[in-house]
Amino acid sequence: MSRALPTRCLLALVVLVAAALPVTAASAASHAAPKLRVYAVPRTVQFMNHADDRLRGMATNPFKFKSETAVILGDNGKEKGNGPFPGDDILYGFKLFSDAKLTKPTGTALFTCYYEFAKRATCDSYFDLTKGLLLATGQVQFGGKHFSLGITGGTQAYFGALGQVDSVPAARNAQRFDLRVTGQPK
Amino acid sequence: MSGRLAVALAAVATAAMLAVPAAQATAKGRSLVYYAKPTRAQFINHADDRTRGLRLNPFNADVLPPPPKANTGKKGGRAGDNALFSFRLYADSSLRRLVGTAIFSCTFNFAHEAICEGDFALSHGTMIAMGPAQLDSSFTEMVLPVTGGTGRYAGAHGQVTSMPSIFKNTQIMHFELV
Repeated sequence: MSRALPTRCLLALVVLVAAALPVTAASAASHAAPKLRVYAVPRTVQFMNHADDRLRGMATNPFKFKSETAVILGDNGKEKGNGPFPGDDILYGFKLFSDAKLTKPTGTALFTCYYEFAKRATCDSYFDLTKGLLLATGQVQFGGKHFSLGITGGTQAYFGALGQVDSVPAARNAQRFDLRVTGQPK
Repeated sequence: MSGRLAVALAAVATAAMLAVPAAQATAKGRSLVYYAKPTRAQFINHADDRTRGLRLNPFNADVLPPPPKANTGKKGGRAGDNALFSFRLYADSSLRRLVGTAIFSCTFNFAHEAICEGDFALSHGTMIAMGPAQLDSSFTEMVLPVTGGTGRYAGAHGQVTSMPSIFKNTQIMHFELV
């Protein structure tokens, strides 16, 4: 019995350690991704109106679709309604701050959005932060106040990053971005 | 008892053996180096679309102003312009072992910076990267996140660094994959 006790203790320890390994891994996996919150103030914007390219595309194109479904023209030959129309694109440059009072600069962000139908755009964005760069892509509705993008990669401290960016309006004409970064090996 | 202990220790040892290579693989990742020789380039000037965009746009009057000198006609890309570059990729600096091609499709934003998508067609699959690049004389290197791939590179993730090489007007493209 006296000899068996240390052995049992050792076995119990081994079992405990073995049991702890998957638990630790599971808890790490389920642990909420670190959230990075930044506030973005638009600095400059450029809208690209591709009306002439759309018009040209109705006459000369490699497809056989009916042109009336592509662009809606008024009697004066101009496009009906307000854009953005398919093919237009818009570029936004932002300054980023780490605080809601917009006093601590922390980088810049660039959004390049290519409009499709129904005023929806696919936006490629990058957040150039102090520790590296994060890349995010997704759909944004024109005029919409909330949107989410998928983080598709990163560099340096964000090497191999994945995750999600959620955006909501903030005070002082700013946009708040919550970046949930996962999948970082470093 | 000793038999149980041996089994338990063997189990722990097996778990440790399984865990260590996985950790090493994550830390080390894969590293690939190619030498890229430019073959073609095309610049697409969207000055008319910029001008029209200032006049006809879906924003209210309180929209932010566009960048100054948006359409000055000076050399260099302006916001919204496109640039396409193609490369041949070699495995060696003497450019003898051709291993694939690369295409960069870039859209300028501001201050001669562009967002570029790089598509790399290699012998056993493809890789995709995307990110910013300074496309003017101040270019020294660009580091783009690698976002995916096909074939041998399916699920590729990491970054690619491109910098000028001293060999035959080429770029060195260094992939670091997770």
